[in-house]
Amino acid sequence: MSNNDSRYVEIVNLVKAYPNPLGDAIKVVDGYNLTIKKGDLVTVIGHSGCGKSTVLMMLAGLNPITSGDVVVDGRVVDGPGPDRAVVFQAPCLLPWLTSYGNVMLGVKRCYPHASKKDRDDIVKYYLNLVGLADSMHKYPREMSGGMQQRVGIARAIALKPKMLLLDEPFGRLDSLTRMDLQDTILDILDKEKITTMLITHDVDEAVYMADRICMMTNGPEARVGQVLNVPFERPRTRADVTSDDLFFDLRASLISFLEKNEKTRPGDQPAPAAQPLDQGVYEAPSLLDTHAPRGGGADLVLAGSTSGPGQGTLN
Amino acid sequence: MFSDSHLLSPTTMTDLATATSTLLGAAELWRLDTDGSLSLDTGLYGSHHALRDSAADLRLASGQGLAGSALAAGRPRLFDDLASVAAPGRAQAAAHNGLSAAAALPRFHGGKITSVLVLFFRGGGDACGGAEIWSAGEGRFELALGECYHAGACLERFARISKYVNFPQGAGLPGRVWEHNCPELVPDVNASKTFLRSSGDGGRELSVGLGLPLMAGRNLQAVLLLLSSQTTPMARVHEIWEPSADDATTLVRRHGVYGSMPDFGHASDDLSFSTRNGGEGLPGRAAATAEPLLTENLDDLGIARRDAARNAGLTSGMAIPTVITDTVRYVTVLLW
Amino acid sequence: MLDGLKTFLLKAVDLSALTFLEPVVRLAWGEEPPVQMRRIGRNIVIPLIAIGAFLVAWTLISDKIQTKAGKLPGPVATYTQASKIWLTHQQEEEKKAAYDLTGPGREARLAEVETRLDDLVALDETARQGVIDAKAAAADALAQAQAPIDAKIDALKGQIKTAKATRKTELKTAAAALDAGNKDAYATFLASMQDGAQAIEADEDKLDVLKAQYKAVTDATHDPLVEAQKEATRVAEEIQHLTAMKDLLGGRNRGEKLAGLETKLEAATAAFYTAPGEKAYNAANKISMTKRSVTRTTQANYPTPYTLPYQVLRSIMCVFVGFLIGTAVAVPVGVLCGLSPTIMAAMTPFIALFKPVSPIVWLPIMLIIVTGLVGDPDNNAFIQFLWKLPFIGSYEVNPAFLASAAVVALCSLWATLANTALGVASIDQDHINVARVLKLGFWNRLFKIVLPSALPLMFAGMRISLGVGWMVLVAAELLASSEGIGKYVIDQFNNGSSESFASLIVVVFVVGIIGLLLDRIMIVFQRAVSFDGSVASI
Repeated sequence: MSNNDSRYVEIVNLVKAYPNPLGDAIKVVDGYNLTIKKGDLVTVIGHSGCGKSTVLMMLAGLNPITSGDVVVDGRVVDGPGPDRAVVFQAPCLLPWLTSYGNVMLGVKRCYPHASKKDRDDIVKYYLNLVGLADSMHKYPREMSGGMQQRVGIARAIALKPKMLLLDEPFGRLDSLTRMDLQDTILDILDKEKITTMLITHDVDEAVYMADRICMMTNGPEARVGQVLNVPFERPRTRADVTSDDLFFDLRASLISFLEKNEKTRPGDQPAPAAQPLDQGVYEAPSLLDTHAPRGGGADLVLAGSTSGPGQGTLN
Repeated sequence: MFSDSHLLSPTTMTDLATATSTLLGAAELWRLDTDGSLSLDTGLYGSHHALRDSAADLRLASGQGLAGSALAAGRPRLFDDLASVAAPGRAQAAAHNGLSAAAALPRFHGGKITSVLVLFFRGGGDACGGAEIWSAGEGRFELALGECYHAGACLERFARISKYVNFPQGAGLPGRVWEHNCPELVPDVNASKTFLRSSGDGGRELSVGLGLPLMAGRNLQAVLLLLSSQTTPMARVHEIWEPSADDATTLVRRHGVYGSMPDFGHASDDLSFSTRNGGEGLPGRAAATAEPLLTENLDDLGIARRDAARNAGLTSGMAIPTVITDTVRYVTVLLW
Repeated sequence: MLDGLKTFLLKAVDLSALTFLEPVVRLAWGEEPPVQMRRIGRNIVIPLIAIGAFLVAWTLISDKIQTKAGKLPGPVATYTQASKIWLTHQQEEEKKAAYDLTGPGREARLAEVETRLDDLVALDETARQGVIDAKAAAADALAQAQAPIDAKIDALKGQIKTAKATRKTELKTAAAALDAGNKDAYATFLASMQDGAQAIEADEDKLDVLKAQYKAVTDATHDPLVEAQKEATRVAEEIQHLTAMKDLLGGRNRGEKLAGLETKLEAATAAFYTAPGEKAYNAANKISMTKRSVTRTTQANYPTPYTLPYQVLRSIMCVFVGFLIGTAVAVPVGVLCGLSPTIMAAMTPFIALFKPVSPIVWLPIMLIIVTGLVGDPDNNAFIQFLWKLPFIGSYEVNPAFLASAAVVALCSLWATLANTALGVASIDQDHINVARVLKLGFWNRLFKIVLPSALPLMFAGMRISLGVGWMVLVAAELLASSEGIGKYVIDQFNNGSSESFASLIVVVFVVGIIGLLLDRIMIVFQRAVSFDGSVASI
């Protein structure tokens, strides 16, 4: 695998800040770094409001990037485009078009020179792929939420995107439909090998679907906390994966990460007192706060300024 | 939260007080001679006489033995199967003394390796703890677990899951060490947000975590993680010293974890070491030479706490300076 | 199959927004009869009862309101007038058809008309006789009714006269017997004198009552007579109509006229070729004149009768022309406003300023402008072009018509404009995101995303616009004297007869019903373009 493929998607020091009239800009996401291998499915998990969707929307180009870079296949992302197809939490179908029409809209855009017959075949192929061969000419209002989401997936995949961005696409579905759709997506990705980022807050989904799980710390200033590689072979079957001991180990690891992040939100606790302790722990004033690493912004700066490479003060 | 996270229950306190067996069993500093071979500079063996004897007059060529392997690789190594690597007779000597794994950490100066620090870890019995080398992983911004040693059944699950974990820069203990190129001490990993793997990953037994940046010039080569459990700590004292903000030639304590020895901790307050004139004490001398330093002389811990050290039964001290482009930024001190 | 029909009917009911029919359909398929009955009761029976109550109240009140032009027409009078207006319209249509009829059809029709006329002559006779008889009977009845009252009046008059005389002598005698200086006696005398005067006054009042009775009896209409007269009028009117028809089928028929002219032409041609030198000029002249007559007759149409149905059609035409002009302006401007806040900001003062201006103000301005632009309709290429168009041509579009349409456009476009702008501006962010991800170009974005999404609100605006336009139109026509409902209204008003009063009431209902129908049509359109979740899906 070439270097370009192993770093097919690179997210470098991504920051999303919103202006705050009362003070410094609020950094929802700060210093988000992630590399995705070509064809990998990365699930992003974190507490709600941690900025997962913000990251995805920045990747999609739908939310402006404050600073940092997103590079997909060697090209810096600048605004939205059909090379990064998005499936939103709501199906977002155009209600005045049938499922066929909704998919065709994207196909027309991405195959401008194809003949009418070819386009027709493409649309039908993808609707077939998501299992909607019989509902091609139905309007969104005539379909269930799960079916609508299938159309959304078909529309996204029909764009032949370099990257598929799924923003909690199963969030509003009941668990049976959800499992059904998870398998549909895995089947499609096994065939199409599209590099995918899936936002979720469902631990089982994160483990079952992913090649890698990207756990996010709590916002503000959210970033990648830990990355878990999921070694299960593809194609996967739910029964095989969920009966593997490792599934439960990974699941437990994920849950403990989330719990840990929930327990200690930055700002929830008083600043550490600089005093020697009877229990034999000493912490100097203004050092790296080991308990609330993301909260001690000033500490980090200080540590960096006195210890950063190339800024030596000690000889 | 300080008191919360570090308050050890009375029972563990007594356990720790009586536990003199640290995971760190021995340490050796091998110096690169002009002929390109390594010879023993100093060693800390405590009661592990067999190991001491096996090292005497030993000269290691590149690729030979533990230190030689690290020299040949040009990067830190960690061996949990000494027999296949160590110089003839040394593995048996180590095994005889209950030492089952070792880390070999090369020290760079001007782009070249000048010495190799070898740390021996105990195994078997009640040993619980580990050493891990984290280095660049699959992703450009991630550290992945490389060679590692997890002692004891208590960390079986922890070891299994850690294989799959990657840390991006800034996240988790290795990621933070990487981000700041700064050694970092976590007094209680389970209660800390810095240390992300924990109870859910089977690391319930762990207590102190120490992350050391392993630098080559100004680049971080790897991060060494030394994980202690309450029953078998890596060392009995973990300290990080740094040049004072007011006077760069004076080292002041940045962080210290004293476990079962609060008296020694109190004695350490307000202590400082000068780095002038060849340096003062263990950290001062290490900083002055920018080389790791091993000592069995309790005076090196500072006169002020010599008695406390003797009372606590401390016998060995090791100082590892963190050098970034020829500047000593931190000195990490382990005492046992 | 039946279920399919049910679904179809329910969908149709839903689409047309005639929801009150839904329980009827459901009941027909036996779905929860009690529930449906309750809904029918609420949605159909109660409105019917209300209409009934209104008709009763109208009848009662109309009887009490007396005006110069007669009583306020009640429901019956209004209905009668409506049928009369319809009859007149049909007769005019018949005449028009007769004028254009040729060949065997004409002959058959002529025979038919003549037969009917023959029958009518007899009927006319009977009807006239009926009137005479009825008059005699009425006179008899009147005399019979008057006689007793007359007798009573005479008796009372005599009684009063004698009473007065008697009284006078009595009082005079009493006065002669009065003692001078006896005040009491004098006072008693005065009182008795006044008592006597009062008694006579009371009698005279009774006389007045009787006289009023007499007058009432005299004025009372005699129903058989009214009926007979109505019948006679009806027959007479039919005779008049048929005579005109006969005329139009005969001599005044275009085909006949042309045939006559052809004969003349042939004769003239023959005469021309045999005419001696100096007379040839006159003969040739005659030929060319006859030829010109032929052309004129071929082109001449039966003059348009300005009946109410014609005026209504013309008004509907006018409102649609105005509405289309308004929409053609409002939709593009609205889309621009919705797309660009800058344009919106630029347009806002104009919208705010012109929106409240009354049609009455716009009309004179528009009349002046249109008249100025058009000049003489006979020499204006555009107007002439309109006259030649197949359907619109028959409505003789003139500057007054165009001005009315322009006013309709000016007054109605605001609702469409505002709603279109709102619809375009309030497009779902999700749909915008879809467009952005697909990187759709401006036109694709406009036609695939923006317009479909704005359509429901746009149509809601157009529905309001059409309603406003219809209301504005009648006033505009009235002022512009443009043929149409407005013109009809002002004509009827100037006419001032009781019949035209009834016609005005008929117009109220006609205008109301047409407005209602227009609204329904727009609702159907609006629902057809609405989708789930759109603001305007009712």
